[in-house]
Amino acid sequence: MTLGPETLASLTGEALERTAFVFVESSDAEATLEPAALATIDYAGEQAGRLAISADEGFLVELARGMLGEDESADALELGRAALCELCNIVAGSLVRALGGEHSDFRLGIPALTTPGDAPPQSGADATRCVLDSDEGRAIVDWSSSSGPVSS
Amino acid sequence: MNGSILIVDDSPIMRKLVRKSVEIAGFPAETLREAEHGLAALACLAEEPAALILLDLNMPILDGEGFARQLLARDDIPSAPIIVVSTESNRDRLDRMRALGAIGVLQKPFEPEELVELVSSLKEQLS
Repeated sequence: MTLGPETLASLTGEALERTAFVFVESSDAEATLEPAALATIDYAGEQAGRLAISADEGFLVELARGMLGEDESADALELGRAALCELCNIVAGSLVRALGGEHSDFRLGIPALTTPGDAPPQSGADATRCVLDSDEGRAIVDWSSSSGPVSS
Repeated sequence: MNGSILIVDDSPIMRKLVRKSVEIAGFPAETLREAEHGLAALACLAEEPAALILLDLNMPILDGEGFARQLLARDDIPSAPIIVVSTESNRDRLDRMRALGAIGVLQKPFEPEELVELVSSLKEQLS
């Protein structure tokens, strides 16, 4: 099963709104950003896949401030990287729920920050991307999945 | 309140968010403790019992389910009610958590107010 970019954008948007009061709009799928952080998470089970979210500095700071309800924080950028990791975890949870419902057997890995220069994985049979603009910055969400079941 | 609230989550920002929500719910900051995975949580409880555990499931070292199993099996560590705060949606896994002592589940993504309400509703019980 696969999900389109609109669904990916919707799941990510919901996570951002509910957790951090950050509101986003979809942008041109070809749009780029200057990445300040890249978070990835793998999942396995009925099918395997990887979710990767990269974000620029403005998005990270907005995300951290939104999650913590603080306007000013000296280490907002560092907190933003941690927040991006958690966002990746939350969106992956929503993604596997959308893929298989509450009876599906998916196992999420542990989200990790990787070097922003690394290209998000697009090697799976299915690859989906959405680009989201917030008030302060931009994030790119990449989802790639295999077509069959894979053990973790 | 008898004992502290233990927040168990590998995400430092999620621990901050949960801590803030619990403080807003009326629990003093000095009654809140944090652990970044299940093993650290067991060590925390061995030092001092908790009145409530807010538990993520998907964690490194020892995940939430492994923690709950060990907690139940250990006679030397007093048990405590658990609220699962997690992305987990698999019904079987959540049923197993209920069997291991979870009294509630808050699924991520959640609005902080939902956590405030949930913890507030338990305040009288924990007093």
